[in-house]
Amino acid sequence: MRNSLRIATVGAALAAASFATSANAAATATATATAEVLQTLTLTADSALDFGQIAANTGGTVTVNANSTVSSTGTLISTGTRAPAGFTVTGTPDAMVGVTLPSSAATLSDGAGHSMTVDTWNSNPNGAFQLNATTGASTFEVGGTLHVASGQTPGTYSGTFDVSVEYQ
Amino acid sequence: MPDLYTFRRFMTGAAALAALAFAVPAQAQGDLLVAPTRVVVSGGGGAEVILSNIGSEAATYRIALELRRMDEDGDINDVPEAEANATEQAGLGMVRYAPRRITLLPGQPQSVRISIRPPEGLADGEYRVHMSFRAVPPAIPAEQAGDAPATGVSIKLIPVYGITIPVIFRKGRLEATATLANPHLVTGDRGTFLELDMTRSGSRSVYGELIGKNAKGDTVFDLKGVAVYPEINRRVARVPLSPEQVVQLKGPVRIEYRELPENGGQLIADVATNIN
Repeated sequence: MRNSLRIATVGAALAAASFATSANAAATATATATAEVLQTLTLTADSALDFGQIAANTGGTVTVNANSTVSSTGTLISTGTRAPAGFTVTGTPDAMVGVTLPSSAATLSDGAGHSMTVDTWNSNPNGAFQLNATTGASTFEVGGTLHVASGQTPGTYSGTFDVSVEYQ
Repeated sequence: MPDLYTFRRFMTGAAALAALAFAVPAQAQGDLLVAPTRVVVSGGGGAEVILSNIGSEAATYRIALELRRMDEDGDINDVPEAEANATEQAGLGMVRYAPRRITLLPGQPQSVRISIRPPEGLADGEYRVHMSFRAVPPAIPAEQAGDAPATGVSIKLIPVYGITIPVIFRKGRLEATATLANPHLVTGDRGTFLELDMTRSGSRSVYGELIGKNAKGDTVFDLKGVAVYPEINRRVARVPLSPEQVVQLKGPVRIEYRELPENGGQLIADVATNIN
């Protein structure tokens, strides 16, 4: 168990860090000579970005915004639950956290040479936000716009998009 | 362990069913904790950062270096490597770290070692990269990918989500000063904010907390971890205020920008005004 050995060498710092939800413990964990400490930052995914079911027809776009507003353009038929992705950030109470969204479109592929893109990424709150003064936890949502081509081949399209948080 | 095997089979089956029921299954694998959340190295040497799996399943995390630039709203924006300027490229070139990929059981932490190797003749200055810790999404099982609806289109969009932390290397004797100006209240859809302009000059970033005190000297707000990075000379800071805080701020106020207590807490800049 190489991992166990590695953990043992870091000793107390890791022991303290294993109290993942205790912000105070983490402050101790990181008291090294070269690091400034702003306690910890955690990120958990609560729900996925859901564009619902789509019948392509002659194509169009489906927009699911981070603030939960949904809209579509073109002749496609968009039904079902449409919801933005939800995340929870937990860290130092009162600290500012920024969300970085993809700077370009994400490509979704059906694995058979067909693809769609998602762009116009947006987050709610828009821009940096402050963690809850008491709990240190705050939620944010991420949405975007899906582009569907005319006669888009039916199938399951999968892809990934990058979301990251950082103390401002 | 037949029981565990059966259980896992059951879980896989359950996951597949869930995927059938909902076009986009919730993805909670890969939740993570990172500490510390800011690394500053002066001269030479390195640091250690701890990554912990706080999810309920084993997860694999990828550690990478990315570039970010702060804009005048204080937002931190992704910079593709192809668009990196000379300072950013130098930063990417001098940061070594290991491991780059870690698989962790739930609750298991591991440290990532960072060392800075400045090249010969590196110009004095502040160099910054952002180290990202992201969960690698599990491969989509074949039976799910092949389970296309007869008509229509379904989407499986998986967030590769993570935490980034600034890794800052300072070479030479660097100075910076900051000023605060124009504090005023702004009320919008998301409530009331105290907005103020922050300016920075010098050869490094400034970093601290914004503290608002009313006429009685009471601390009304304390916004922690506010940076102005060297790529910008001014930014706007927005401090969210509760209705109670707005009431407490009315009248003469003093806003201080201080180093964090753990860094000495010295005053960097301040401004006094009257909030009506």
